[in-house]
Amino acid sequence: MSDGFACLNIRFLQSAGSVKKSDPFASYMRNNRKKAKAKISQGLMITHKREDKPNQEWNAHLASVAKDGSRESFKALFEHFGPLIKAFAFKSSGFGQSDQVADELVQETMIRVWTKAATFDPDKAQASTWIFTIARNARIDLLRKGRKYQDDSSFSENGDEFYSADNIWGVEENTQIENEISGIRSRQQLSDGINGLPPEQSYILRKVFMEDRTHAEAAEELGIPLGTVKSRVRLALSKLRVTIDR
Amino acid sequence: MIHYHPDIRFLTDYASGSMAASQALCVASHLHYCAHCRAAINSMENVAGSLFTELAPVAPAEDVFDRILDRIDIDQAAVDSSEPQTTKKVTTPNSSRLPEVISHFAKGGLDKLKWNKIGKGFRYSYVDMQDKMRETSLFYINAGQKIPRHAHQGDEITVVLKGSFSDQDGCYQAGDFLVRAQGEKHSPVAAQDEDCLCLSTLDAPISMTNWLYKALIPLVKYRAETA
Repeated sequence: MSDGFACLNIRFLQSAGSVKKSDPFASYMRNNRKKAKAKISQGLMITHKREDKPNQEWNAHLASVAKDGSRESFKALFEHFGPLIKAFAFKSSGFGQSDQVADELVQETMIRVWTKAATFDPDKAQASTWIFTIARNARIDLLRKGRKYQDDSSFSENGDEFYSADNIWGVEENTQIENEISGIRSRQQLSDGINGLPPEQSYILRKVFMEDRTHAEAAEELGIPLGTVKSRVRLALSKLRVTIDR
Repeated sequence: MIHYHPDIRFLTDYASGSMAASQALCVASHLHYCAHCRAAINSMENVAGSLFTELAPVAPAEDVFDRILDRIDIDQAAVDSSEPQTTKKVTTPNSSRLPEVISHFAKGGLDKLKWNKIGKGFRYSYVDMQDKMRETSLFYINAGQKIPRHAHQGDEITVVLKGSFSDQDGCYQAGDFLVRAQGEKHSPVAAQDEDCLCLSTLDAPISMTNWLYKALIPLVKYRAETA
């Protein structure tokens, strides 16, 4: 996978308007649009091609699901986020590339979205982040369920509830003050920030956050030292103004 | 004042969900005490959320939405016919209490767990995380007691939950998140005034065939006693 493609943005060029015909980059893009489109459909290229509705719309849909049990709103959420959840499932090597299992993650996630819609607070989180964390936890649970049937280890009397991802991930509520400290940026700012990163940094961010690989696994897969992975992630996050250091 | 935090690797692996549950348990415990790291996790989740929305979408099968609605109808029927559910109580972190995850594990209180004593210095209770690669336990070092000097066989994460202890490298309080590498030797001493409660997870069980291991079983079996 070529790192160079990671930060190309067709939409930006199309909407730029003022790009001259003589611009070599633009003409490269025009000539290679077919190739680029092929890469997009293979999931090798990240673009803004999908119309990115502002989060307000999703917040409204979630509220509507919570208050009125609106299936129309729920369907709108499914149509936008379902395909993203499926893509997210494919990013994890633990699922193989099984269509069926990926669909199962979509189902499990959307059911949880439905059930938990009342707990969504637009002041505390963005809709896309909230849904991501639900998909993340559902992925953890599904992977564990898969391992359970392969393993013959005995299970403690504690019961399944203790091991569920929701119990260990995201239990402690963030207070409003903490959200201010972390400086939640608008989706657009964050998105622009990510696309403005040097290729090796945006690539490593996608690897560690989307692909269900720990730092150590990413280092091994890419054949680079663990320290390099750590510093690239740190640099990328600091550019996005995510503060880690005290 | 918390001085020891999970580094960027642990925070990222936790936020991304790729971390093993045993280790995530330790990070989650630290987060109970540390607002700064909670904010960092929050920010990372926002980054991940942004990356998530930029994934190349893959269409689910045609019947997936209907299957979801069916499941919802079934669940709804079950709910309607049962007691009205109270919304889950959202707890705000309060460092004078134990982390939520620990309370979940030790329903009915810590004294209800099975505690194993070693010498008069401490006691431990095994936490089954369904993970063959790691051993996880809660343990107490009794007030003023010292654990004999020894090394770990594998990498270990320890989170102080109550009280404090110190070793040659520093002094550790509730909330501190410590990582010790394989082979590092140390000898922890609990503070005089209070028993010290810790959570610990250790990599790589020792081979059982080693005669030295057998001779040292009382000390070595309880590997999590260090931090």
